[in-house]
Amino acid sequence: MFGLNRKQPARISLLDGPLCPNDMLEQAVALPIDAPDDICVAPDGSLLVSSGKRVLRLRDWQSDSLTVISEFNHEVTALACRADGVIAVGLNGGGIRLITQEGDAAPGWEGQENGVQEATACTFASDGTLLVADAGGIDDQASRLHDLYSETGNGQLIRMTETGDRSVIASGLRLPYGVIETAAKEVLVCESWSARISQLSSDAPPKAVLQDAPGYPARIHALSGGGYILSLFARRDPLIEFVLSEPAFMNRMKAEIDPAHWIAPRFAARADYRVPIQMGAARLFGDIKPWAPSFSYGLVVILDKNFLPLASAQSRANGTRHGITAALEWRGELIAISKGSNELLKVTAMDQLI
Amino acid sequence: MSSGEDSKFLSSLHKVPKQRSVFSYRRITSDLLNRNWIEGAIPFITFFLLTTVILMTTDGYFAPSNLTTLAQYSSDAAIVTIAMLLVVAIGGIDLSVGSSFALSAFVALYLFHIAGLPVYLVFPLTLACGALVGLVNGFLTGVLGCGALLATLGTMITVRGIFVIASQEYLVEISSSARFDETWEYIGYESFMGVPVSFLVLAVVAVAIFLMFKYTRFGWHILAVGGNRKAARHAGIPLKRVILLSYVLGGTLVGLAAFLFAARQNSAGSDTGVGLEFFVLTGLILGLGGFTPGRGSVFSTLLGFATIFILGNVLINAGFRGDFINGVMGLILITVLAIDMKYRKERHRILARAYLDPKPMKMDPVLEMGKMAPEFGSAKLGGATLLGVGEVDGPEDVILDRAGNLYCGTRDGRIMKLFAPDHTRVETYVKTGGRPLGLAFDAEERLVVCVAGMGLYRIAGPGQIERLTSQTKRSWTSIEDDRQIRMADDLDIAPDGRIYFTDATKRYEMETWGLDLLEGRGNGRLLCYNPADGTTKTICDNMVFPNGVCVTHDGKHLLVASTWTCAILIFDLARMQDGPRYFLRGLPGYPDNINRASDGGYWIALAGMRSPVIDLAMEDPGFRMRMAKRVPPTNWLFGNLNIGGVLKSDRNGTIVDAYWDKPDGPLYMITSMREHHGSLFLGGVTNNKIGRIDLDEADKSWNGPDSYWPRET
Repeated sequence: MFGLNRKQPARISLLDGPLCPNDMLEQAVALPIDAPDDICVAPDGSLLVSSGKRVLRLRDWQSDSLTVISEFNHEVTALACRADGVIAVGLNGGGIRLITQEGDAAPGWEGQENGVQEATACTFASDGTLLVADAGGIDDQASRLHDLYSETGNGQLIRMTETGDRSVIASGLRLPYGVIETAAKEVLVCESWSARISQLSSDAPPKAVLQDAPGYPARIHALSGGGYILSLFARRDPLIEFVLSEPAFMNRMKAEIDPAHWIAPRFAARADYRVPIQMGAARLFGDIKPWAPSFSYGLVVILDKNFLPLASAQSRANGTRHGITAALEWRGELIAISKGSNELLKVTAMDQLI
Repeated sequence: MSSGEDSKFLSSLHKVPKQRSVFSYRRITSDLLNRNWIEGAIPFITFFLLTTVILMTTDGYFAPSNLTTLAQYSSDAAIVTIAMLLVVAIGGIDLSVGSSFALSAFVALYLFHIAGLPVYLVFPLTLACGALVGLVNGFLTGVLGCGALLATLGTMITVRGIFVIASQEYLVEISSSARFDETWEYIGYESFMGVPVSFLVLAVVAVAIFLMFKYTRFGWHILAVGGNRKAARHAGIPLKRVILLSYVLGGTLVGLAAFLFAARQNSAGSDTGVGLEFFVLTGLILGLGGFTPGRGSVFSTLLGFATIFILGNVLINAGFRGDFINGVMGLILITVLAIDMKYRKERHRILARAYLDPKPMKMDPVLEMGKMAPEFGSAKLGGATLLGVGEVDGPEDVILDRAGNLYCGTRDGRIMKLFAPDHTRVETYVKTGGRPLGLAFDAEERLVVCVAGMGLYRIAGPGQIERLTSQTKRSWTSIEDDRQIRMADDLDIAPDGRIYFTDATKRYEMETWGLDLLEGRGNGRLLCYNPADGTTKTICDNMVFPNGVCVTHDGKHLLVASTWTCAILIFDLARMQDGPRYFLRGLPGYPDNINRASDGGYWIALAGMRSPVIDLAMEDPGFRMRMAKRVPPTNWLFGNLNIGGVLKSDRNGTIVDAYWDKPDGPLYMITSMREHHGSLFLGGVTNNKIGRIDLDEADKSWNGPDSYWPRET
C-alpha cells in the first residue's frame, strides 16, 4: 500500500554526463591478439600483453613488433611490471610467477609457494611488494558466474614480498578484478560483482570510493597527472539484478542449466543461440539497435582523483569490442584489451579524451 | 496413405490435453477494470445499498402513494441535474442554476398571475428566461473564455440579486392571486396514468438528452470538447459555439424545471433555489462516480440524484435538521471525489499489473537434433539470394502464384507484389490498413489474407480487397468481449473451400504479442470461415499462440503451430470436435508458419530459438510476474528471436532437415517459407528482405497453387 513496502531496485548509475554513450571503442585501431586478458607497461616503454598462455611484448604499434617473452603451462590472467623490470605473471590455477624482462625466473622470487589460487590482477606497490587480487577458487568464467549468483565473496587481496612473506589485506571480496596503489599509498581494489571500488586500510573496514557502477569494474590503472583509468568488462543489467533478487529461480538456474546459457554478463557480444535475449534486443531489419539491452558491453571510464568520471570510451550493444578487461595509458594513447573481440585497441590520444 | 493407414497414424499420436477456459482472479479483475460499465456500477451499488437500508428500517416508504409524491417533488431538481450534466460534460460547471431556477420560477409566476398570460405563452417565456441566463454563462465561459467556476458564481449572485429585488415587489401579489387555469393545474398536480406530469417531462428530457449524447453530432461534440478540449479543437469542432449552445441548452432545461416548480408550488420565496446547485452537484458526482467531464451518462446521473434525494428525504422524515443533512451531503461529495481521485490514479496501474497473468507451463524437452542443431549446421541459408531488400518492411508471410509472382505483407499495411521471374520489380498490390500476416490462394487464385487487428480479407486483384470476417461468436466464459478477431495470424484453405485461420492471441496486439509468451496461457483460437454461408466459427479455443496453419497434402488434416509450446498440432478435418493431437513436439525453437513441401513433407519456420533459461522461466509464473512489475519492458527476458531457421518434417512428423543462417546473417527470425519450382522463399516479420535458396533435391515442377488446386488437364 502506498508503495512503502516495495523492494528497492538495484541502483545502477546511468550512462549520462561524461558516460554518455559513444562508439570510440568501435572506432579504435585494433591489433588482433589471441585470447588477451591483461596488459602492463614495461620500464623500457614497451607494452606487455597477455595472450593465452604467453606474454607478448609490443614495442611499437605494429603487429610484426609483437614478440613472445615467455610461455607458461597455464593461461595468463594477470600482469604487472616493477620499475626494475621484474614482471609478475598471474596464472590460471597456477599462482604467481615472477620473471625478468628476458623471460627468466626473477632472482629472489623463484620457487615461492604463494598460495594464490586465481590471480585476477596484480600490481607492485611503491615499496616493491606485490599486491595480488585473488578471486579465490574461481578459475573459469563459469564459476565466476556462480560467484555472481551467490551471496558470499571468496576473493581476497594478498600482499607478497620478495622474502616470501604473505599477508592477507582483505578477504570476502566479490570477484576482486583490479588493484592499484594510489599516490597516497592507499590500496584500492575493484570488486566486480559488487560494482564498486573499495579503499582498503589495515585498521578500518573497506571504504567504497565508487559504488553503483554502471558496469562490472575490472582492472584499474593510474592516469598521468592524477586520476584513474577504469575498465568495466560488461554493463550491469536490470534483468540480471532482478535475477539476483530471485533466489528460487537463481538456484534452479545454477543447478539445472549450463552456465554458458545463463542470464549473465558476458565478454563477447555474440552468444550461443540457447542464450535468451532481452525484449529490447530483438533485431529489426537484421540490426541490433545500439541502445538495445545487452549482456555484454565495452566500457572504459576515465576517473579523476575523486573517482568522478571525466570521460568514457564505449562499444554499444551493436558493437563487438566488448569485455574490456584492462585499459591504460601508453605513450599518450588510451590502450584497451577487448576480450569480446580478441583485440588490443588503440582508442585515442589521451589529450583528445579529456 | 489409405484411409485405414491414415486413421491408424492419427490415433497413434498423443492427444493434446483439453485446454479448459481460463479462470483466474487476476484475469477477472483486469477484465472488469477494462470494462466501461464498471464506473457506472458505483451509483447502482450506492442506490441499492440505500434502498436496502430504507426497506429494512422504514415501513411503507416505497408505497405507491409515497413514490408518486417523491416523483412529483423531485422532477424539477432532477431536470436541473441533467442541465448540470450538460455543462459538466463540456468541461464546465454552472453554479447559477439555483438562482436561474428561482428567477425563472418568478418569471413564470409573474407572467401567469400578474400579467395573466395564457400558459402557452408563459411556458416559452420561462424557458427563454432560463436560456438567457445560460446564454450569459455560455458567452462568458465559451466566447470570452472566463473560468466557468467564477463566471457562473458571478451570474449566480447577480441573478439572485435580480430575483430578490423583483420578488420583494410581487411575491405577496402572486401568492394572493386567484387565477385558475386548467392546463396550469394539470401540469402542477395531475398525473397521467398514475405518473405525475412533471415526472413524465423528466422522463422525456432524460431520454432526449440520452439520445442526444448517443446519436447526435452535437452530443458527440459536447463529449469531445469535455474529454479533451485541445483535441476537439484540432478535430475541427467549433469550440465556442458548442460551449455556448450547451450552456444555453442547460439554461433552457433550468427554465423548464422552474416552470414545473412554479406550476406545482404557485409561489416562490426568498429561499427558492438556494443551495440547489450544491444539491444537484452532489447527485451528479455520486452518479458519475467523480467529477468527470466528457461523460454523458444521463441515467447514472439520475440514479445518483435519486440516491441523494431519497437520502435527504429520509433524513428529513427521521427528524434531522437541514444543516445536518447539508453536512451529510457535503461529506458524500468529498468522499466520492476522494475515492474517485485515488481510483483514477491507480486504475491504470492496477490494470497494467493485473493484465499480464502468467501461468506455469512445462515445456517439452528439446528434440534431439543431432548434427542438424545450429551449432553444427553449415549455415545452409548462408548463401541465400536476398530479394526486395529495403522495399518490403516485415514480410511475415510470403506466397507465390502460378506465374511465380511473389507476394508479402508489410508492417505499414500493404501487400507487395514482387514480379516474376527475378523479383526485382516491387509494387504495392493492395493496401489493407491493418497488418497483413498469413496469405493463401483460393481455388480462383484470389489471395486470402489474415490482417492482424482487422480480420480475414480476400483480394480479387490489385486494389480490390473485401472483408470476409472480423468477428466470431462470443465465448460464454469470458468477461472480456472476445467476439472481435484480434490478431488474425495465418490461414489455409481446405479442399471444400472452408478457410481455417488462427487468432493468435485475444489479449494482445501486433505491438505487444511478445507479452503473450510471458503469459504462457492459451489465449488464442482456431477459427473457420465458411464462404458458402459467410459464417465464422470458433473451432478450438484456448490454444497457446496458434500460429501457422497448413492443410495436409491429402486435404484431410490440418496442422497448426502452437508457437510458445514449441509444438505442431494436427486436427482431423472430418472430426474437428475431437480436438488436436501432437504432430510434433519439443521443437528447438518457436514455430511460426507451416507450408507444404514438394516431397510430401512440410516446412516449418522457426521464428526464434528457445533456451534453457526461458524454459525454466516458463515453469515459474511468479518469476515472470515479478519481472513484469520490476524490470523495464525492454529488459524483459525473451526467447532468442535473433536466430531462427527452417525445419523440414516428413509427412509423419519426423524432422529430416534443418536450415540455419550464420549467427549474424541476414535471415534471422524466419516466420514463413514457400517452396516454388525448386526454390525456397523465406520471410521474416522483423526483416526487410526476402531470402531465396535453391533446393537441390526438390521437384522443380512443384508449386503451391497446383498442389492445393490441381489444374484439370
